[in-house]
Amino acid sequence: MENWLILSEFFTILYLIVKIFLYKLEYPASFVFFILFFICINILYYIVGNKVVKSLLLLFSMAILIVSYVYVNEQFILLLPFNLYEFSNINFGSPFYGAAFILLVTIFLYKSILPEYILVSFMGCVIYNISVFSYKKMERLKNQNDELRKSIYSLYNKIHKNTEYEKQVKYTAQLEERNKISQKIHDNIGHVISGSLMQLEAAKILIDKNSEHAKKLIQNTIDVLRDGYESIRIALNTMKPTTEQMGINRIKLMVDEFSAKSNIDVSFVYSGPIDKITYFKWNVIFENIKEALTNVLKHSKATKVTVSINVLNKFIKIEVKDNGIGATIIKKGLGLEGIEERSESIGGKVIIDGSNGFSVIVLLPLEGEKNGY
Amino acid sequence: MKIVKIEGLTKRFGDIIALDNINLEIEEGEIYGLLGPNGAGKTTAINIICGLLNIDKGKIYVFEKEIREDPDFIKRNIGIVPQDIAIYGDLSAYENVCFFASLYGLKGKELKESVEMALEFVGLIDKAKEMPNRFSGGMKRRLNVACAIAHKPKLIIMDEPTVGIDPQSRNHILESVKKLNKMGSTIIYTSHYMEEVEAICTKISIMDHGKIIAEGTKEELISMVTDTNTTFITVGSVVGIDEEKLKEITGVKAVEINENVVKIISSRDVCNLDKIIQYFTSKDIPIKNIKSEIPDLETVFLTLTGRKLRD
Repeated sequence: MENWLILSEFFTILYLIVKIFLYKLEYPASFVFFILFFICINILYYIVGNKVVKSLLLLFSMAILIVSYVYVNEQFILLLPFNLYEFSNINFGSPFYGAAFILLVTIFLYKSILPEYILVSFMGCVIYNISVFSYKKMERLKNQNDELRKSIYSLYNKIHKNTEYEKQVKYTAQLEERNKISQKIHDNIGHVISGSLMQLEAAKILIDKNSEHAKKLIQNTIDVLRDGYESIRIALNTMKPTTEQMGINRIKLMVDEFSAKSNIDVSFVYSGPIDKITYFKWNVIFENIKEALTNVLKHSKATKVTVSINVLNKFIKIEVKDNGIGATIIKKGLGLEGIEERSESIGGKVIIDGSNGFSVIVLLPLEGEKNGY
Repeated sequence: MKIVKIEGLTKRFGDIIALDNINLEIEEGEIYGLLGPNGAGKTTAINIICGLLNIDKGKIYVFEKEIREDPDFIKRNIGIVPQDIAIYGDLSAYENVCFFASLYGLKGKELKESVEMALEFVGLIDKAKEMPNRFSGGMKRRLNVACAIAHKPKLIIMDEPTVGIDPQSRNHILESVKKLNKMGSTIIYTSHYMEEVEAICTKISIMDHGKIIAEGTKEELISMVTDTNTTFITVGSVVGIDEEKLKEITGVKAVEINENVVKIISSRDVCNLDKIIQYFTSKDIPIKNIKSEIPDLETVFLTLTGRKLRD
């Protein structure tokens, strides 16, 4: 910010020098001396850090200017406004006192220099204010930028933590499943095969000596293997989850978690042929219920929530209803808007009612109307 | 031709969202019903179609013209029967209709003929000289209708025209709505009486909290919720009833027997009550009572929103 002031000061000095030499004015030697003296003092001003020393230097510099104005050349007074601005800035924190001093000085000036003096002061004032203004703005933006960076960082951390946790949960679940499956393989397949093997070995030995007995053993093995095959098939069938199981279970889990975390009693019911709901729609339903429950927690002061999924003839009706304070004027925040957007993108409707507790009803068409879902 | 077309209409009153992203199309020649509880946004929608309210968002075309493009043309071709009776008690019935018709620019002989036709249409021609102050609620309503139709509008909007009137006048108004439709007018009819809308409307939108939650013919709307009718037949004794035989009747989906009531669930598309009764008579089983549960628009609204149309 000071740079602009220094630059304009520099141009004023340049202007003085050019003017003096063009018009061949008197006292060039002392003129050069005082100009250099002034420059030295002002450079010193920017080098020292102490505020008191700075003010003293400025006062000294102003004294030089006044002396040279009176004894050497009246043009020197043109440099006075810059010192005054700096002085009032470090002592009063505002350039307006400087402006007042500048006006005060005009009373004592010769008429010949007055217009130039005023011009220089005003230009200085404008430049100074512009630079102060933009400097402050820059500071503010910089601070904002820092804050944003901080919040981005903390959010990033949060996400990272969550994904870690999710991974952990997933991995544990996988391990559990693997454990279960290997147990099942061991129970069903292992026993059957090892038993059959033994019987076949025995049959192989017996086949020449006692073929009747060997045949019986082989028949036994066939029966055991057939049973084994059957039980594996059943096991596979029961192990492989259906879409609706996955959907319902996911929602049940989420509802239970919510209930445990919030101390709000949640009941979850469903009816109708829920196997008609596609995987994609389960996702939309899940997200919507989650969002609606978050709203319940945030706004409702409810103690009880009912989550229901009804499959009607051509519609799936999903309702989240609480017994809380409700709302006469409904202001849609990000949550409700998200529910609406998701639902409407697959041809659904959202009915929001705050008259008796708060209820969010989502109606989704069973047959995908849009986007082929 | 699409008489009315609304795209993404949103209307707010301060913080309250009266209409929330509404899309709607009304074809020429339809009796279009707007059904919904009080405060659903029906009247707001109508006021917007008439150009009485500014909108916050969306596009509205009436007679395939943007509503702000030529409001005079649109207003000239709309007749509105407002919810609150708007007639002058101190002018005679004839003068009332005359006044409103002349607002639409009718003059001289044409005016006289139109006014007489309108009064005749609503059955008030012999009361033409009387003051509406002394009219019954139903007659006032009918006069209100006459005021709206004298200029033969292409689109007639009726906002709850049957509130607070006797059954006779109600029937008269419902009949006249049908007649007006046959004479070539498209009609928008709002009501929170489900029976009226079911009886006369060719297409229905169910509104709630500023949204259209379902649209279609009566049958389409009902089939959204269910595709079955339920019949309860009370008999003297259930001995000798063969469930399997009953299930063989076309359309029967399920049969349940509880004490002496037979519950038969059958498909809505099939008329099989005669065959069911025939089965009982052929077995000489006396029928004590038959109750049919046929889903209606009230059922639809109740299933979709969990609330009733009227409190």
